[in-house]
Amino acid sequence: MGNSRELFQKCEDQFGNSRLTEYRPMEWVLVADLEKLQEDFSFLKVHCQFNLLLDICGVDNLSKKEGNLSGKRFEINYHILNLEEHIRIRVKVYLDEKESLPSITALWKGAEWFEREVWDMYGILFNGRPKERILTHHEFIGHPLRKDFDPKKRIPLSSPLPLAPHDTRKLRGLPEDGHWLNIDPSHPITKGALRVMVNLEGEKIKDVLLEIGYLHRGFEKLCEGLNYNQIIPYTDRLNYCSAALNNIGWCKAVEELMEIEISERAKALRMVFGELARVIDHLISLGTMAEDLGAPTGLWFFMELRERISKLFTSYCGGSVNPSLTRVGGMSHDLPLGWVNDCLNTVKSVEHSMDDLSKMFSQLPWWMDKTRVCPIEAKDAIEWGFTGPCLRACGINYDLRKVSPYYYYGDVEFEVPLGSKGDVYDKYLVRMEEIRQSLKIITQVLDYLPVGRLNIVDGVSLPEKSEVYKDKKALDKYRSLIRDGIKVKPGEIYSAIEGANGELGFYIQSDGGNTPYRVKVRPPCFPLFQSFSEIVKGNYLSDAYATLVSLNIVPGELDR
Amino acid sequence: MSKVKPTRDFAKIEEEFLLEKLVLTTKASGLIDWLKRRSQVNSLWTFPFGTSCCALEFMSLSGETQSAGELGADLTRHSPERSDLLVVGGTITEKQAPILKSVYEKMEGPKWVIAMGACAASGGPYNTYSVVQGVSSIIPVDVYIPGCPPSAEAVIAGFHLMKERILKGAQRGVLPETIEKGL
Amino acid sequence: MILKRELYQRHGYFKGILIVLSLQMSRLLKMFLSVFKKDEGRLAGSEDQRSSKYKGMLALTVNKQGELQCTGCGLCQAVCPSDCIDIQFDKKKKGVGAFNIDLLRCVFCGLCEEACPIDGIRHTAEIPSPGHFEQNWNIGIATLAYRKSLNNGKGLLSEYTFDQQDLNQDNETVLQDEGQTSNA
Repeated sequence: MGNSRELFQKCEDQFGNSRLTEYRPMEWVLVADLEKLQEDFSFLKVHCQFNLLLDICGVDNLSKKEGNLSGKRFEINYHILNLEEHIRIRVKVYLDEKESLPSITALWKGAEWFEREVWDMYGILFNGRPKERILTHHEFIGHPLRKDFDPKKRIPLSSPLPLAPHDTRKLRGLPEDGHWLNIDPSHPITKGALRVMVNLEGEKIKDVLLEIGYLHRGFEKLCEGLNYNQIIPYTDRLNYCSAALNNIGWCKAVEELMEIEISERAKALRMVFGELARVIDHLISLGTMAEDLGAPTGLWFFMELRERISKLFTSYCGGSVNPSLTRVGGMSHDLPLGWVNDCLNTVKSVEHSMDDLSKMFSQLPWWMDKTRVCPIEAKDAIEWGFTGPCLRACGINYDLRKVSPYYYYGDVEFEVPLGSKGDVYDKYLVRMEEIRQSLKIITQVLDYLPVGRLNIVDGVSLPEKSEVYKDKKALDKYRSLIRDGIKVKPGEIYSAIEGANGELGFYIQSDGGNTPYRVKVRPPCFPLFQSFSEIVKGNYLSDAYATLVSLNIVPGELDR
Repeated sequence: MSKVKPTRDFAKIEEEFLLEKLVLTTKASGLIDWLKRRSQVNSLWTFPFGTSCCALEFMSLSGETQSAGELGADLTRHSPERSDLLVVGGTITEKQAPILKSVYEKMEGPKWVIAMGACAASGGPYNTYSVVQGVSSIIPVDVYIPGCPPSAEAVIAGFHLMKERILKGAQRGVLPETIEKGL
Repeated sequence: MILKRELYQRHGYFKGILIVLSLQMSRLLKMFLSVFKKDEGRLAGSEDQRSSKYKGMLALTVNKQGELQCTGCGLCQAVCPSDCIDIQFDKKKKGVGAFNIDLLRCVFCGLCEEACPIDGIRHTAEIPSPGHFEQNWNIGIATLAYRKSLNNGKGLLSEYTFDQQDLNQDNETVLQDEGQTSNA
C-alpha cells in the first residue's frame, strides 16, 4: 500500500494539486484539459501502469441543476484501472458542442467500441475515427442520450445492414473481394442478438466484422425518468442468467453514493444470493458450450442442476429469471422458515453431481481436441480490457472479491482458480472450479448467518405494513417514500462488484432529485466481444464457434 | 397521469374474427380438412425466435423436469423453411424487426405465431426509442402469453390454445398492412 | 490457485469411452432406484409446486362486507415501472371509478402489491393464462374483483357485465384528486 502513496505523489507532481484529487480511498479523479489530454494519458499508461481501460462514459450537462462546474455542455469520463495497486482513476474532460477529442485506440486497443458508443449516443467526434454507429441502427437520426431527445420517438428501419458493406471494408482497409459469410441473429449459436460476418479462405478465417445492438432497449435513457427503486426490475433483465448479481450491484452503488450502511443480515443474504446466481450463470454457460460443441445431452445435465438451484429462488421470491430481490437499504423480505436447510441440502447434492459431470468432460480426448484452440496471451487480454473468468484463464490473479473485498468476502475462505493459456479448455476448467468455490462460500456464510432486523435504514427502507395499518405518521412516511422516492444528494460514484462474467460496474451521477441524472452500466462482455475479431484470425470456423460460446456473451448486458 | 388507450378496436375485430363464428368449409371436403387439421396439430414444428430472457424459459421448457414433448411441439428446427409455428420470445427492437419479418415470410404454407411474454406482446416495460411496441405491427399474431417471463405451465397452456385454434381453422395469414405501426 | 496438472493430461479414446459409459450406467441405475426412494418433501414456502410468493394474476381485494378495498389513492399507479395501471377517481362516489390494467404490459414485478398500504391489490397464485389475439387485454374492475360468491355469480358490480364495463371506460368521470388519501 505504500506504493500507492508514492504513485499519488508522482501523479500530483506531474498534473498539479488542483487537478488531481483523491475522491474516495483508491478512487482518484483527474480533471484534464482538452489540449494536454494525449500527454496525460500516455503518462498514466506508461509511467504509472494504469493499463486496463474500464469504461468511457459521456454526460450531457444541459439540464443539470447543481454540480456543473465548468459551464460546458458535455463531459466525458474515462475510467482506468491499475491492476497491481487496484487503484481506479476517473479522467474528466469538459467540452462544447463542436469540439472533438483525440482518440486513444493507439494506447488501449479496447477503446474503439467505447468511442463508437459515445459518438452514437452523444454525437461527439473522436479525431481519426469514422462516424460509425454501434447500438442504434444505421438509419437512425439523432443522438439518443442527449437531454433534448424525446425518449419515445421511434425511427423504424427499412432493411438490415447489407453483408460487409463496401464503405466499412474500405474504412478498415479490408480487401474489396473475398467470400463473406453472414452469421445472422437467427442462427442458434448467436443467442439471438449478435451478427458475425466472416471472410473465409478455404476453411480458415481471414477477417471478421461484428455488428451488435439487436437488443438495445434504451436502459440508460429510461433510468433518467424512474426512481431508484423502480430501476431494480430493469436491472434484472440486464444479465438475465444471473439476475441477482445485477440487483446487488445497483443497490450497492446507490448505497455507497448515499453513504448508508445496511444491516449485517442483509449483507450476508446478498452474498448468498449473489453466489447462487453466479453458480446458475456458470451452469448455463457451460451447458450452452456443451450443446454448441456437439454434446447436446450435456445441456440437459447442466440444466437439471440449474433447476435445483432455481427452486431455491422460486421459494424465496417467486421467480428465478426475474427475482428483483434487493431494495435500496436492504432486501425485499426475509427468508421463509426452513429455507436455510433446503439451501444446504441443495448445495450438497449439486456438489456431489459436479464431480460426476466433470469426469464426463475433462481429460477426454474428443473434448480436448475441440477446446484446446485459440489461446490468448495475458498482455493482450489486459489491452482489450478483459475481466472475470476470461482474464483468470489467461493466468492473471484479479478477482474483486479478494482484491478489494466488500461485505464479508474478506472473512470467508475460498480460492481463485487460474488457468495458463487462455484457451477454451482453460475457461471451461476455471468456470467448473469457480462453481465449487461459490458453493463453499455459501456453506460458510449460512453457518454463521447473522440475526436481527433486515431493513434498518430510516428514511430509505419502507416501514412494516403492520405499523402502517395503525399509525397515521407511518402512513404518511410510507406514502411520501413511494410517491416521491428516495432523494440522493448531488455527487457521482463508480462502484463495481465481481459479476459472473467480469467486473460489473455502475456509474451514477445525481443532481439532488429523486431520479438519477445519468446511469452508465459497465458491461463485462463488451470488451470480451470486441476482441473476438482479433482472436479468431487464422483459425478454423468451428474453432471460432468454440471461442464465441466460451466468452459467454449475454446480449441483454452487451446492448443494454 | 396517462390514460391507457385500448390496444385495438374490439367491436370491429370481434365481428370479423370471433372464434365461434368461424366454421369449417364446404361439407364435401369436410373429412379431408378434418384429417388435415388433426395431423397439423399433432406435429407442430417450432422455430423459437428467442432474443432475451424468454428464450431461457423456453429452453428449460423442453428439458427434463417440464416437457412439451407430450404435445409434439418441442421439436425445434432452427430453419424457417421447415417449421410452421413461430414462437417469438423476447424484446424485438427496430434493428431486429426486418429480420423477424423476413423469417416469417420464408416460412411456407399454413403458419401460426405465438407471442410469448410482455415484451413481444406489447413492448413490455420498454417504451423507448428503439423497441417495437408489440410484434403484431410486423407480423400477424395468433396467441398471446402474458407474463414476464411466462411460466412453463403457461407456455404449455398456450400450445393447447393454439391447438384449439388450428382445429377450428382460424388463421391470420394476412399481413396487417392497415394497422398503424406502434399502436 | 492453479488448476491441477493432471487435468491437462489426455486419456486415450478407449479409456474415455469406458469412463463415460460407466458414468451413464450408474446414472441410469440411480434413476431406476429412485422410484423406490421415499419422497423428500417440498421446499420451504411452497404449497403444491409453486411457492407462496409466486407473482401470478392480479386481483383487487374485496373485504368481508362485499365492497372493494381499493380507495383509488393512486400509489400503485405511481410506482408501476411499465405504466400499465390506469385509475380514475369518481368524485361523486368518493371512491375508485375505473381501474384498468393492461395485462400485456404488466411485468408481474410485485411493486404495486408492496406499495399499497391497505392491501388493495395483490398477486394471486393463479397463472396468467394465455389468450387469443382478439380478446380484450385491458381488464377492468369486473374481472379483477370477480368473486363467484357475490351477487349470484355476477361478481362485485352487478350493474355491469364484463363487456360493458370495459367498453364504457371513455364515459367515466376522468378526474383524479391528489388530495384524497386512504384513511383506513
